[in-house]
Amino acid sequence: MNLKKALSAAMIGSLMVVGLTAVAHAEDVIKIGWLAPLTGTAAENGQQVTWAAEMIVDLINEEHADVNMLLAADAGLPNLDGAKIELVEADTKGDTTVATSEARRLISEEGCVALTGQLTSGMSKAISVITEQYEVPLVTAGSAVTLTDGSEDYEWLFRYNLTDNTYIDDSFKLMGEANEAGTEIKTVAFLSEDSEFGANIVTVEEALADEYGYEVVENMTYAANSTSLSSEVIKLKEANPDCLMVAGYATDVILLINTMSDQDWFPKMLIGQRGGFVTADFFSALGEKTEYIFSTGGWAEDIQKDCIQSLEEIYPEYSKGIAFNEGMSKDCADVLLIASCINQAGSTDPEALAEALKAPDADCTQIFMPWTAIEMNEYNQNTAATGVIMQVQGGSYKTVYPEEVKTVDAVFEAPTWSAR
Amino acid sequence: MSTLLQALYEGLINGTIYALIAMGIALVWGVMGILSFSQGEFLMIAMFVAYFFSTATGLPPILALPLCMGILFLLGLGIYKTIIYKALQGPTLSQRLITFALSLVLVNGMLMFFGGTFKTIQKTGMEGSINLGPIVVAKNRIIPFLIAVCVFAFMLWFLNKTRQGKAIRATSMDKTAAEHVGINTERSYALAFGLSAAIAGAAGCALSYYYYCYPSVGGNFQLFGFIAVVMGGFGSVEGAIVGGLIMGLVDSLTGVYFNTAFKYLGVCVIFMLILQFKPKGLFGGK
Amino acid sequence: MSLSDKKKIIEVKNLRAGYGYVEVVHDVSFSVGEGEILAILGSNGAGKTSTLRALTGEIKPMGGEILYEGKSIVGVTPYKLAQMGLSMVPEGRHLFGDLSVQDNLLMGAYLIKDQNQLHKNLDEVYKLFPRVKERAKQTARTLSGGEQQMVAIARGMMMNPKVLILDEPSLGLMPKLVGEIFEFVKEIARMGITILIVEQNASETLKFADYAYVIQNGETVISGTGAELLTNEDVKKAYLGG
Repeated sequence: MNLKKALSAAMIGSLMVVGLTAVAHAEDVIKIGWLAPLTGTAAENGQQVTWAAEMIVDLINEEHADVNMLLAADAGLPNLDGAKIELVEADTKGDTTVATSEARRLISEEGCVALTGQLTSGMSKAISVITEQYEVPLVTAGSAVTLTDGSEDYEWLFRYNLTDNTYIDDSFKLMGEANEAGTEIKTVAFLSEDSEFGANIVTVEEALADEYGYEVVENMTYAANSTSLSSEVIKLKEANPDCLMVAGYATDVILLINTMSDQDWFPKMLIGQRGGFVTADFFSALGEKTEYIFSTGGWAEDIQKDCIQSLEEIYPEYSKGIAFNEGMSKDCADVLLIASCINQAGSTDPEALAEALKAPDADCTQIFMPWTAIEMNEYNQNTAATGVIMQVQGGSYKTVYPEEVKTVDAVFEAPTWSAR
Repeated sequence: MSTLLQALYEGLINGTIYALIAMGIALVWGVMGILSFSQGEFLMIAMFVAYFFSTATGLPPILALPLCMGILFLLGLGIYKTIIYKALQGPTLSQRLITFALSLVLVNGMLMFFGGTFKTIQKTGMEGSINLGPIVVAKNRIIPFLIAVCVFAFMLWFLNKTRQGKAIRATSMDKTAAEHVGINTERSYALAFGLSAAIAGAAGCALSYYYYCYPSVGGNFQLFGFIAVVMGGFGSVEGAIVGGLIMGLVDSLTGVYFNTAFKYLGVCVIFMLILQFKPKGLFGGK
Repeated sequence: MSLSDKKKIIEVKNLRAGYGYVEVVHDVSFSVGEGEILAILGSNGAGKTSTLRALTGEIKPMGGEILYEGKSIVGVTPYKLAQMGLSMVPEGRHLFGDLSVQDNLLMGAYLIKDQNQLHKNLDEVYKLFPRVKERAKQTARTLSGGEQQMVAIARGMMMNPKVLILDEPSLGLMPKLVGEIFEFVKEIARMGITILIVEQNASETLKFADYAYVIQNGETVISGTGAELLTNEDVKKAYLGG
């Protein structure tokens, strides 16, 4: 009994010390929790995105008058006496269970005031259970519509990036442009990973195909990290759709494109829904086979904004030469917005921060995304976010949609493998 | 018709890789009663060897086959002498877990040294495909198939016809008896482990023709390999080959004719059916 | 402990052996002369098999000496002993069950690399064991116990051994078959091969053994020629049922 008492006294004591230090540090350092896969299958990509987030934090904390980005000109957050942002990194290992327990640790032990990171839609849902419980904002770039359509009662989840609705709507509009340009696109096929990510996309794809009047000739799901996608490609080849829409992560996208090349089949249009299509691995592993592939995106390297060009120059210093890309931009934008909203709120108080996150007054010319405005709806979704569609031309993605921002014309009918 | 032929062909090709993995597992289990969880990692290391060889020299990966098999054989031998040998003196549980631990070390070691990027060999010297009418034969699947067939033939010949092979077979059948007829069973153990790693090495070289390579690539192949081994009858090398080919075919046919989302289900159903009617596997003890 | 004046091929002096920390064999000494049949007798659990296992390198002795042709073979592994001419027919036969009888025999000749010699040995063994020849194509595990024992002995002969060690060859066999097996042992001895036989069946074994030792509680307690032991009162009481 005595031992128990002594132990609990010691525990309470140490908790108090932890609590006190958190308060003491809150004056000059504000912690943002960053969740990304730093080990495991997705580690490489997770690391690259993490470097990008570190770059954004450095730009905020140090004086960079030359970079036309929010908070870059001053050192730290001007409204909080120059308080610095600290990115507390946690490794999700790409595993939802790990991500959830790490999220809890970031809040309860590290004292993070908001969480973000490289999160899938599925992970975001799981982490929300924690953030709703602790009443800490979670900002995600996961694209599932269900995150912000009111189907779940999330009060502390915020999304500035696009939802699948917009991405897929863009995709069908691009098919429309193809038809106008004289390339006949009538049939579509969907191939998606059997995960939260894929399932959400398929739901939207089915609805929109119906709405836009395209015939769905094949609709398949597959298990992630497949050892073989041969049967999938055999079926696709048999159905021979004009346009194939794919939702998958890097491993399977690489295998899919290789298998399609092996079986000598390629549709007129192949539109990827980000995921594996917007990773550095996509290019390094597939090389010339990436040519003519489309991907929707929340960002493109050829968008004309000052801060984008600055980041593209600075990032390789952090990444050992790897270029800044779509996947990173979305997750980093969330870090920047959190910092900006903390500054706007002038405090780290959760309620005040949430108020700021619901109505950021940030100048969009100083955000490295294609958006021109931020308008949050009742479910904390930025309805003014806009995306792009890119096509690999000459070894890198070029923006081909929408009309206003495109830098090159799309090639609507990809040549067969043998004709390349 | 053409779809069926294509599905059979693709299934067969994929099956050869599962069969190669299964063969190594069966060999090690049969000889020393160790479950080789590290077979998939041996495959992965060989894929890296083939990848680095091919990108550094610009030569096709097939030329890395002796290198892949050689390096993996020596690695297997080294691992046997240092880790497995000791584990065999210990309790059964540590024998079961040792290769599992080893596989984690190998995956994370490779991650540390070579990172987690996906690597594919883009110039295999076998680009494009041949249209044979009913089926399209990807050129880059021909060499993996030939490698697998050669390894099957070599292993069956080696185990049945050579002195050393007979020694390994005898050791796996009855270690005491083998020792008494003058067989150095310790050497059989080391050789069997080295060979099984070398077989995975050949599989890795073959797979590098059309599959991406990264540190945890071995996991799924390992799993399929295990199912193939059980299907074929634990410890039977011939059974493992047949089991692997069945896996490939079932995987491909259920994908094409049933539903791609359920192709692993197909594999597992066939697996359970076989165990239902032949609990010891297709080639299991009489 | 010398019973005959023949040149000693195996000498075991004050052997101690066991498993882990448990000592089973406390003090066993015996010697085998070239061309003799030496029997080691004792009841179940007396330490006979452990003695043999120490001799053939399957367990490490805890003390004492084991000499083969005058040289210590302590710590020498079984396969090396086989190469040195010691052929062991283990208790429970240990045939390669999935192989045919002939393949079992060929496996027994693993050490013989010369094909001509190998076929010569096979012919000789078949001559010696006609019943084994009849079963040549049959899978070993389908044979009866007696036949399996014959095959095991035949396999042990395939390597041209200097010494044939038999561990409880009569175990589990019908009396009629036991006699048959022992006839073969005598036949083999007549070919000049030294035989070390470990048996529980003392009455039958003593009839043809040149010399015999009795092990009790891990110690050699009685020794003498086969004939002497057959008439020894203690042996009679303990092992011959009277």
